[in-house]
Amino acid sequence: MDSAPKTPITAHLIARKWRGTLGFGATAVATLLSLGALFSILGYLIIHGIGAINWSFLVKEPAAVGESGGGIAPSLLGTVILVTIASIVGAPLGMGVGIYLSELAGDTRFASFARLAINTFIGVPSIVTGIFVYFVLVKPTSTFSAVAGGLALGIIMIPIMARTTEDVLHLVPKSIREAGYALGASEWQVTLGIVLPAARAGVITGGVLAVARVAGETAPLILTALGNEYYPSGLFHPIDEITLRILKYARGPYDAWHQQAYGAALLLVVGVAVGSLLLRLTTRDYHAPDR
Amino acid sequence: MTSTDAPLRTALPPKKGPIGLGDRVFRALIMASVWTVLAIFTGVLAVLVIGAWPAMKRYGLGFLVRTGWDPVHLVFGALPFIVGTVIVAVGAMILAGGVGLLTAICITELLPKWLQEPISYLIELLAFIPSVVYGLFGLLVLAPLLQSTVEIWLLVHLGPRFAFFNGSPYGVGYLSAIVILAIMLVPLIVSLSREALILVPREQKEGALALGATHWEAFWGVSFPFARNGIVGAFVISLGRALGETMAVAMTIGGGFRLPTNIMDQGYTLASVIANEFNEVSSETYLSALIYCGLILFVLTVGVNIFAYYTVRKLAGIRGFSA
Repeated sequence: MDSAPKTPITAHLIARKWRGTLGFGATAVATLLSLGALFSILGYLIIHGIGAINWSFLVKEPAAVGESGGGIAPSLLGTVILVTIASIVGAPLGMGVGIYLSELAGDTRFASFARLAINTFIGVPSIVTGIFVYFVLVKPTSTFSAVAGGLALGIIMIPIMARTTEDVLHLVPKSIREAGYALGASEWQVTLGIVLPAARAGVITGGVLAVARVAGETAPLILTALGNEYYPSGLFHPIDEITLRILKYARGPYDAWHQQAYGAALLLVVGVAVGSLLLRLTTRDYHAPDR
Repeated sequence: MTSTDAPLRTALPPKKGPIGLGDRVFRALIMASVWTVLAIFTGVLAVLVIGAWPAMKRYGLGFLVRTGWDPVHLVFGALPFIVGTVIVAVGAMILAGGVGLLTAICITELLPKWLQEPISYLIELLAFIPSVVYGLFGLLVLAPLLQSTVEIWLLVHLGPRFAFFNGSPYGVGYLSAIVILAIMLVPLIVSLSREALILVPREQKEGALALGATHWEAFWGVSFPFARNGIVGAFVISLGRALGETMAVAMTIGGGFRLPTNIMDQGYTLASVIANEFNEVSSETYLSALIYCGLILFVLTVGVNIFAYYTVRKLAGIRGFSA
């Protein structure tokens, strides 16, 4: 401690302390910035959006241009239809792959390739999936449609479902599987009857996460579902979705449209936030058991 | 929350002898779903190549380095969009990388235990806001705000000396797209960096503190080097997201087919040009040129993601690292 002959040791110590204070001060500023971004976005949505949300906003069709009032009911219905189709396509396939990766794959080269494919595909921009569905479904049927939009969203769901399923199945203790085999259960009985139910909360959570993710997707729908001012006339007709409505109203020139865009955005954000909160709570329950 | 067992990477030992009918059906169903999914993934690539083929034949690899976007005379070059993609992604990464990493440090090092979870939950809430809502906010709130403040300031104070800042403050344009994308990336960078920082063993930090290091020195001398690989992985994953972000950028970047000359210019990225122009397509060649852009985007993001996968996996070993 007798080094630094030129600097009085106390001054040196004070400088070191100050450097830390400044450094951590900067991290605190950054945190406030991040939180500020969140609160300003939420604040804007609430201030501008809450006035747009009322009963007729939820149950009416959009008003004609220039008329006041009107609602986003077709978009809400369309969102439910699209998400349902997406879940029918995406959930079983995603879970299937997740079960494969966790329970059957082992360390084969094919398994690591499949795992890489899933992890890579999660990062592929969703609009690329839109292009794919445009060519395999929209062009051959020569119409934008609910089925095409749902298929696009379903494909986006697959890797998300697969990875969460794999992750939560890994959390199930190996001893539970061994107990099942010791009782003479076969592979499918152990997997579907013991492992999957044990990880039920986590799998459901993953499903909620995936649904929340695709409910907010817009880009692939531009190429597949297109949007519609009215209620959809069938599964093979163009269909509206809440984010397409937000996109249209945000880009429009009218203040009334902007207000409705904020209202729809507020609904959507509250929806996914509630979903994510449930997610937190269920995963907490899930992780809690005696480990 | 970690299980007492080692991670179950390996399946149970293969059974000897014939397997039952139930297992055979079960395995067949599971394998069918795996092959279906792999077929879809391959199909996506195949469709992109087939769709882009007319443009690839016509413009070749020169498409990547040429400018010009003229649907009437069928002159297409994607260089402005590639440059735009890089500018927007890198710009957003610089802003979000700094803020996000510092926020993660604040949460893990500075905040008391009981505040860590709520604060990081709030920030991760940003990740649940859909892209189109960011676009809405960017278009109606952020762009006009930047136009009347930051852009004027940049133009007056830096514009005369640097051509990069010497443009017309439109509001919507590269700068707005960069800022809105940065806000979107922050929660991703925070949560991934935090996962890396949490893994630092307590004893290591305490050792440094016991040797007389200040909290700050212990962090940079011990914790940060330990978490560095994880943080690099976090940045690569975020970069992949930044390159592919579509709607928020499409709504705030303004639109334009020329090479940008300054930060306030209007233009397109690869993803946003597809989103905004797809329904305006007037000819098969135009469509094909857009798909070509999609193919470039696909190759770019898949490349970054494969890189991220191997980087992260190398360091993760200890526990699953989720994006």
